[in-house]
Amino acid sequence: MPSGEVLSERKQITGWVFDIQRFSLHDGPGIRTLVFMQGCPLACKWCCNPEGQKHRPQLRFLSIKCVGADKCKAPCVDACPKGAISLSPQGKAVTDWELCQAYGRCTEACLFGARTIAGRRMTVEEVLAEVEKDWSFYNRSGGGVTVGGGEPLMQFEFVLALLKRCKERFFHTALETCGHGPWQHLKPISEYTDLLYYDIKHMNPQKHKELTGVSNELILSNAKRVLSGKVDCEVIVRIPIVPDYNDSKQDVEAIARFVAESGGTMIELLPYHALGSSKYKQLGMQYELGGIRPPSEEQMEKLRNVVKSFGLKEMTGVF
Amino acid sequence: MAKSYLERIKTELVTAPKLKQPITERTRQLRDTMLAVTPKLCSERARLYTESWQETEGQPTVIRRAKALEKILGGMSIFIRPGELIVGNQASDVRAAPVFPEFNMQFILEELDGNPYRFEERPGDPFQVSEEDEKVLRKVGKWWKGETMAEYKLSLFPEETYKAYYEVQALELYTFGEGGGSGHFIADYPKVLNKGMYGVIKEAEERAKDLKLWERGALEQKEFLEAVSIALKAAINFAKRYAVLAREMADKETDSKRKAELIKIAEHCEWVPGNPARTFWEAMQSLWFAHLIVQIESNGHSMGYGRFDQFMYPFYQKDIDERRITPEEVVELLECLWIKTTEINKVRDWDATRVVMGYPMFQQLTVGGQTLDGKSAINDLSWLALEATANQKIIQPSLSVRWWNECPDDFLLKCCEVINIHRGGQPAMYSDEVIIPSQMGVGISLEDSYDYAIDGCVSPTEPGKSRREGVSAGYNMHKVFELTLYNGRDPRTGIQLYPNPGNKDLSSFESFDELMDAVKYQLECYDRQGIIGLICTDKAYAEMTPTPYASALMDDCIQTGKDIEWGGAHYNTTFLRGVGMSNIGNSLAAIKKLVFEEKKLSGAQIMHALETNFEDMSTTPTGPEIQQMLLAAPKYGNDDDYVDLLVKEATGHAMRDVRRYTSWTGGRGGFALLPVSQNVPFGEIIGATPDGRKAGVPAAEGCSPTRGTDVKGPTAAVKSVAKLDHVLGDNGTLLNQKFNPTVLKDISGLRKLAALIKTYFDLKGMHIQFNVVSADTLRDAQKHPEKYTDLMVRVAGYSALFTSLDPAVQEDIIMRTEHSI
Repeated sequence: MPSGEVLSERKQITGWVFDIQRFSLHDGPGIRTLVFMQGCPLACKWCCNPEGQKHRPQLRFLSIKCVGADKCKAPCVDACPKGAISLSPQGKAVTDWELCQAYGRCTEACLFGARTIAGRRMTVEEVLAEVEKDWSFYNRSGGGVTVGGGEPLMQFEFVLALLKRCKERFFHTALETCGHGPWQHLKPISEYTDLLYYDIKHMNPQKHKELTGVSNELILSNAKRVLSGKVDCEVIVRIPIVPDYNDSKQDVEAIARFVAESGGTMIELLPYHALGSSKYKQLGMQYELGGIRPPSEEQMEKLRNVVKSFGLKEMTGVF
Repeated sequence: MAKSYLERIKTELVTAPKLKQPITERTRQLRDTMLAVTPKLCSERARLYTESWQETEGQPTVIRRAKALEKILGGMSIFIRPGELIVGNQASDVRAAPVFPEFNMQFILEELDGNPYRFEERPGDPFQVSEEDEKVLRKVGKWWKGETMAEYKLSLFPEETYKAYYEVQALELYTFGEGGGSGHFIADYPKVLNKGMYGVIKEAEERAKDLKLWERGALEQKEFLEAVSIALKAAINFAKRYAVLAREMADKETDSKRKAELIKIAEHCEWVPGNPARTFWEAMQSLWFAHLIVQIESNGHSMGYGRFDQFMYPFYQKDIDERRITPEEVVELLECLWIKTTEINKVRDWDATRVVMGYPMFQQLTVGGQTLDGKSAINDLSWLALEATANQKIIQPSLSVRWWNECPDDFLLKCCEVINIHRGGQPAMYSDEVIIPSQMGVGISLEDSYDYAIDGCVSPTEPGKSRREGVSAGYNMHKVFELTLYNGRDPRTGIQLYPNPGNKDLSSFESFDELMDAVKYQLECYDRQGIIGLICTDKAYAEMTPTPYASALMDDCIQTGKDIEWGGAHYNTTFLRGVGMSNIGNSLAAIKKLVFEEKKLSGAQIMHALETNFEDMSTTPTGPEIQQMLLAAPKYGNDDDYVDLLVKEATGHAMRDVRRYTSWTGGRGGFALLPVSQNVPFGEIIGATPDGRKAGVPAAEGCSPTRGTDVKGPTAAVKSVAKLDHVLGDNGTLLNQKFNPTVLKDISGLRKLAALIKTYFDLKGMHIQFNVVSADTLRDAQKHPEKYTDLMVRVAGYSALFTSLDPAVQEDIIMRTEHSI
């Protein structure tokens, strides 16, 4: 029935997803599949998934895969309707990021996989089909699905629908959020979430804005609700520990005090790493934290003790 | 109350390798001194065997074989190393390799002449050769010219089979040495422990008395049974030589503790293996003699121990109950046996060596599993065996664990702990749920199927009952696929043994089905040649090198009066070891998609690109572009049915096809999907293929995906592999997975590893083993990125191919990895 098809098509909710990663081990219990939602209200300087910041597809150019014009006829140059691609004197493709609109024609033209598009519009069922592939692993490991990003709250309707479907399949669900979103979105989502990872990066609003581009009022007011039992799920507060930015004893103490006073019980410290740094160049972005090294084991130990001193359970994670 | 040692082993998991060390100073010393040795060649066996062979000329072959063994065991040097609790050496020095002139002397002579390398100068697995040994070997070598098993075997090959093996090289026997001895069985060691060799001799003598010598074949049976008696008596006398030596050493020993040990050793060697063992320690000594002599008799490989924790348990339990031994002392004895087992060595010709580098002997030791009534067979000894493997971190014995649906999780977690600590792929995990039906599927009884143990690389077998093969043939299925593309003609040699039906090639196939049918046809042709080659080999074993000692410990040899080489074992089989199915499936998928579905390329275009190794820049698209289009097609290992089912179809066809053949010993043709590492030389003789692989690049190993093409992580890879019909691989299928130790840095990591193993088995996978990648490997990957294209590092929400990362980031990961050790 053609009319029925049209009807069901209209009802389809879609979302922007930039990656679905199977066998994720550090974002909740067991073996998990991580769904990365695209778009984030924050732009943290240390962000390891910069392709997930903007709420639209991003071109990613892997220059090591570009073989150059002596082995390839450089179809990418002609493919770009914006004329954003030219050849360097060495015959390698160069992208003008100002002109690039991430239409993706070059990704089809390039046979060598040097150009990819991060970000795809997907239906809930499409994501579910991918997630379901590993259900037997979830079964055996107590794992499930983790929705992260980006910021899932930015695609509230889609994420809610996805989590509902996951719960219908009895998958364990986890959500990673920065908390910068309306409470009336966070609350219903939490009803289909077993485990909520809630990021708090800094207690000082000014400093927070400097590091992430936004102030922390909304984040903290949501955090208070989340930690004081207004949601039904398990909550773990996460603090990325970034040397020189928020790794002082005082910084962590302030967050831990806030968590303890709000009724929270668990904090996970995530030591900074530079694994995402190579992506910036691939996206035509600048990485500001180039000189920073991961925090030392001693420093982490010190911070762990700070957390414990508030009677909180500490679990060092990985991000 | 403090936990006992055994309780600690069972409940306190650790993740840092350094926390597991040899249990005593003794086993540390024995281990370290053994590992420090550069192995040498030992000529004693070669000389003694040859002398005996000259003395016994004119007698029945099986008797001559037994007498040669008697001469060797009576005349070879014996020694007891400081601190040893279990004694018995294979050759004149620790890890020295004996030489088996009756099998193949030609390669010894050639390599002594530096062709292609002198033994000392080999790039891998070198051997020192003393002047004295060299002189003997040259002399012996001359005498055996034209008389060896290897030469006889080749003379039996029909021309067509010879071409398939040695010219097209779609098949090979070199992995285990052209003149490698027959192996791949597990002797009935429990019989030795419980009945004693005197008991077995009595059995043989009684059987001989019952023979009706006027009947056809009875005389041969009589000869065989006589040979059994000679061989077993020689084994008992060999042990007694150690008793004498131990007493002599005890007399001179000033340390009273060691003196007592030596006296104990002497008492053991006076009593076993002739008589039933009385204590656990004595049983370990008896087991070692029984196993060692299997290694001295024949130049085989893959002779395993069987279900060690089952047959040793009564001895363990009795000694524990009577407070004669503690679990700590048991682990010390296990470690002594592990070290002894690693001391066993073998010299292979260079071609074989480069395929199986690292002096491997494939001596499997199996623990765990279930009993016939479905109960857990796991006992304290199973746990202690795992502990000994973690403590020693050496290559032998290869520890294999049988898992089944109701295997307790704490035991599986212990296995995961040891996998992480050993770092060399041990223990390997096997699923009863697939293996038991796979054995029954080839006619093995329910009882015997439940009692399987692992042998060789990953082959299930029935201890004391099954002769799996004399030697299996490596099967370059990827090469056969290549031939199909060229109408059966080998592009390397120009030889065309079997034209395709309708004389089609890649440029003229009109449909995908036509291509698939041609692939199946070619596989059938080469399956058959493979089996014929094995029949020739088995015939040569039977006529030239029967093994009366090993046969004495195999059902039903004594009852039927037949050597295992004559088909005396209760079960017989022979098999091909398929390599390259991932390449075949990936190639088929690429052709199906690009030629027959999307029509982006023609078969002729691809064929030209293959012939020019993707280097022709004058075509449109260019060679490199065609290669990229092929590479972009679906690849096996990513949980994509499009290609996974093609791998399954082609492989399944070959696996089913060989079953219609019978081996020389009367068994059924079988199949294994395991590569050893001949996927490397196999790749060298194959031109570019439609999976985007360039000429000369290694084929894929076992049933694992092609390197670097499984990009969706272990769960997807495991799911792809599980789609194959493992239950048809009655001789084993192999899946290797790499793991970064950072994943296993805590107990929750071990739990996830356990979950991965269980899920693979839920999905009907057969075997899985893990390489836990060390920081050293990562450093090497920095230096040689081309060797590590598939090395995945997964750290949290970000995962990447290691070689594609910035050097600074690589450093960071190495730092973390080192930290975890």
